Amino acid sequence: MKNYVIKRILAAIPLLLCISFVCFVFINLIPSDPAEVALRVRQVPVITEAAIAEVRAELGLDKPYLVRYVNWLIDCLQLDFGVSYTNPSRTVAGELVRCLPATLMLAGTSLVMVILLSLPIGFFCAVYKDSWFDRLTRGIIFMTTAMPAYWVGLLLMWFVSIQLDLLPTSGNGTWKHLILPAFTVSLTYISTYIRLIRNNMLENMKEDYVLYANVRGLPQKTILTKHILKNSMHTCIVAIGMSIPQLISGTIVVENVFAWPGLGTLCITSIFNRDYPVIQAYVLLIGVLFVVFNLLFDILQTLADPRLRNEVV
Amino acid sequence: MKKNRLGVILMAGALVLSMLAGCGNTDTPEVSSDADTSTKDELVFVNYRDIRDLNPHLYGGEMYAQEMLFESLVNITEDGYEGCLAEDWEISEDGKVYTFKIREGVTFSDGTVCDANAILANFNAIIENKDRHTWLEMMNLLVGVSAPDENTFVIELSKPYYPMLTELGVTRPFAMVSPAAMKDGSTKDGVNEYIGTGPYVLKEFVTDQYAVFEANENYWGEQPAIKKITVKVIPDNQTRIMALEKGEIDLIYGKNMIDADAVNKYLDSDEIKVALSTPTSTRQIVLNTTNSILSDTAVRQALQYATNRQAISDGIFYGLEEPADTLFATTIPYCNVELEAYAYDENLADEMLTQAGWVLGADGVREKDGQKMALDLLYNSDSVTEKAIAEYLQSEYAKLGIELNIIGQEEQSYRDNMKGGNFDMVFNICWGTPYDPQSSLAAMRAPVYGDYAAQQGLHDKAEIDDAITKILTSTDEEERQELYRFVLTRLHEDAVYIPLTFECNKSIYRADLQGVGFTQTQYEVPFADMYFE
Amino acid sequence: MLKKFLKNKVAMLTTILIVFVAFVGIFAPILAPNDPYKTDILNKFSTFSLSYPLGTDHLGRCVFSRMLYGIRPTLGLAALTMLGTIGLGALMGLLAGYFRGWIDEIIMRVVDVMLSFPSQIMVFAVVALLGINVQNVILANVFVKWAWYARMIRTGVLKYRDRNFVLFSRCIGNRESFILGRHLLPSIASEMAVLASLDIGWAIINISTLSFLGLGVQAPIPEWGAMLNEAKNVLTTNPVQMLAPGIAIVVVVSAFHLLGDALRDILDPKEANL
Repeated sequence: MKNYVIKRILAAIPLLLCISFVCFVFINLIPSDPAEVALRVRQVPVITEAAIAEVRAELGLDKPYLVRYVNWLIDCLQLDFGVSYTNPSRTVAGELVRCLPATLMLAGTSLVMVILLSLPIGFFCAVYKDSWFDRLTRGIIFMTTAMPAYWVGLLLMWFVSIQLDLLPTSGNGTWKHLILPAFTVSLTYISTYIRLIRNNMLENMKEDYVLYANVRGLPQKTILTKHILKNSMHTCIVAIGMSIPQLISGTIVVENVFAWPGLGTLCITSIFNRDYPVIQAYVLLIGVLFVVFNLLFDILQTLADPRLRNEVV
Repeated sequence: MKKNRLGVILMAGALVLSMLAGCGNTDTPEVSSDADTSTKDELVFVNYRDIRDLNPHLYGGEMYAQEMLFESLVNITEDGYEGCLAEDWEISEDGKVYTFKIREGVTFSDGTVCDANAILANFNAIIENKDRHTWLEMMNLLVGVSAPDENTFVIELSKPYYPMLTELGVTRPFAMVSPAAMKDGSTKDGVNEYIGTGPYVLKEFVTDQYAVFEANENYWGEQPAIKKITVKVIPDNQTRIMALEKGEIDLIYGKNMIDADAVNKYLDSDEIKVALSTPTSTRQIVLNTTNSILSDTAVRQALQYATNRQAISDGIFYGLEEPADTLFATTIPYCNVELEAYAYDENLADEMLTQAGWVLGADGVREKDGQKMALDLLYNSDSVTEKAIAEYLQSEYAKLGIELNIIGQEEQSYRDNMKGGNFDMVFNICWGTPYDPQSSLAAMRAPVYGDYAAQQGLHDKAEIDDAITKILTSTDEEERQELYRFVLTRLHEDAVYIPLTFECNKSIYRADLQGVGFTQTQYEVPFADMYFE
Repeated sequence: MLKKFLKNKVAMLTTILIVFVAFVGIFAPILAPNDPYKTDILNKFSTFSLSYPLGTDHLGRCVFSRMLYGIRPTLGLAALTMLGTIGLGALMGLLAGYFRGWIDEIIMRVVDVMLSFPSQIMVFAVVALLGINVQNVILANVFVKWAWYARMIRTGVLKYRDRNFVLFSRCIGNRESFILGRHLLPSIASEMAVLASLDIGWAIINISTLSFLGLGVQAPIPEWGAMLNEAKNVLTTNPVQMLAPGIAIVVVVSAFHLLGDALRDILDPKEANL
């Protein structure tokens, strides 16, 4: 077992290196010269060729590519991502740290919403398969998968905030500000997980142990909650866990609709301002999160499911 | 056994969840909404971006906030100059030596005394970074500063310079920061704290979220009625308006903070009031004369004729902003020089472009020697109206076979690109009082804003620059007027600027807020005059 | 297969709808009552009328005409994206699945890395790097999506490459490229059709999202996402502006989803749940 975990962690390292290398290449493909940018950042009035060459040497830009990559990687490991091009008084790491809490809060709330809504709905859909409830839910799910998240956001903002005057339109502050954006983010995932839970339960219902439980004469309620639901939960929780980075990256659009001061807003503004260090750090961060969460839940799944465990041992 | 495994997963899930939720602990300051106890003295203001670096000796901070914290030697009022940190002053007969009598008993909000020595320390710090301030002609004329005793401060110039007091009175760089907050007597790399002598002090701020100002208890002047000002950062126009409607904020103020649709909506409202200033400056588009298409004067003039200012004024501003025919309004000092307006005339524009060699291509875009008539128009995406004007011009110019690509950027990048000359056409405003016309023109001679880069393609650029330099040191009123006439006429005929409308400062606010007005400079928000009913 | 298709009502109806929408887009210049670019600034935000069936926008342009013209970038770009994705994915998948060995190894490692990034972020990163412009949006979408197709097609190829008809073809001396193109590709084409019709909906939403954020189709080109972006700026004063483009996107995307589901039913009736 331990071996397996170590093997998985070791296997993730090349992937992380790959991701970091892509990010490094990314910043080196951009049209602007980092040396020139550095001079501008220092508010040097007149930029000469000599000054550029000097800064070039100072920043180590004249060194071979791989050396620069290693240097950059070491900086990154120390959480030094450089300074923002547009706002030289701010470090990129500082910007990420400033925006991360808001995004995590949004993603976290969405995750809670996804679990709270999709579990019971998916459960009832499976139990009352083909009832009006099941059909209605499936209809709604179908509609929501065809709706762009930003449009849903606009509709909610208009209806709930402007027409009904129930919640604030956008920005952040109190828990009230959180509801609409979190719901918008979670909507796509809710429909995915309702579907997943429903199908998973339906499949479990066909399993032998359910038949056996029925033969033993256990009450339906016990069979449903104690056996089927519990077994389906395994898969679902792992799937939900793995989608946490997806959720975090999924907030990018919704944050912009609701002017939520998180990473997504930061990323889009940086794209408009061509603030490449910020974009690079953002992509790197999400990439690493993605790998780490995948790894974490993959291991958890193996821990929890004896069948998988036996396979690998 | 099985139960345990599920438990592990659930606990792990819960852990992750609580981690996620726990990290996201962002809170905003308490905003008192129920103020029925006594008169309300806390105001919630809004700005589209962070206060940023408020060091008054550099240019990276929000000016309204710098005005609240810092003061300079003199103030500029409607009727001329007024003493501020300098109680009084004398100008030598040859106009070269300024002697200021420093107000006694003024302290910075950290307790440091603001005497002539403190002011000298400030001037030294500013002069140390001289290159950064050359847009002010006095920096070039400066011979020396001194503080013979603690109540006297002397500035010596090499030539008499008529806008001297104006330059000392503008928000930056000649505002006084506590010497204790400087980094070894220097401010060019930032200050340790934002400590000034102004009516307010900065209590706390969270980057990109809010800033809290409180009245300075030791202020030497009159105490303001508003004791606490919270400034929220809300970048989006619609969100700001909603927040005002719901009473989350009390005041929206500024030229680019409110669109005409919103002003129009509240003109007859009881809950929300509207205030509009007299025109402050000219909204304009700068043409880059170094661009291969725009280097031809005929093309630039054709664009002038192709621009329907009246339609922009009526359609986009509901007539709130009058159309502008010249770079500076005729009410600005020295600017009442008779210039012939480029009246809107599509046919004339069409004719001029054809004559200049730009003929319509098969795809409806003009061409000359294989080059397409495609231009980029850069706008500030933080401005609430520039995008609409850009889109309108795009469709108008398209009718004439000019392809206009519009590019929106956030304020800082927009300014960087303008300054660096990375544009074909760019939105700009003139600086308004007290900078117009002398400082705006002086700044055209150096890479301060887009003007310098844009004018590089003019054949008479050197001549214009010479004339501007002469204006600044000219002592003869008539000669000065003549020189102004020359410069303004040249710029007008060279058609570097497409004036659009005369901007006014706008404000919408909750009805219980009183005393919302406008001052001489368009960058200041006069909180000191405001109070609640 | 065709018979089954004609019999399936959902498949038929959605196909008819999609073809109809495409035709409206193609013939927009004939059908549209107004020039979609013509501004009438003094007549902005006007309500429904005969001359402006859906009213006008913030510059006084005809919303209905812009909707019709908007079909072109919306559908066209999505189709182009899918073509690119399938093309690149098929090429890589076929190469990997057919030749195996080190080619397979390299391609599949690249695919793994691609799939380990959240696709949304990659789209933004590519657009940020290449600049804001329509071609780059398509490139970005192809770039993040091809790996899925490569993997699926490789699996398909592995399934078929040892079937008798392929072995026979090789025995009688057909060239490898002929075997790839003539035998393997058609065999997996039907599976690809299902996936593609589902994914084209994804592409439409993705492209419109980028346009909505201002990173995709640029003004003044009428695109539904870009129109919603403009509608957002007047949400408080003129909320009606956001209805038409949003509904249009939902209808078209739903049509593609339904078509995809129906195609799957036709191909493999067993998997027909939800």
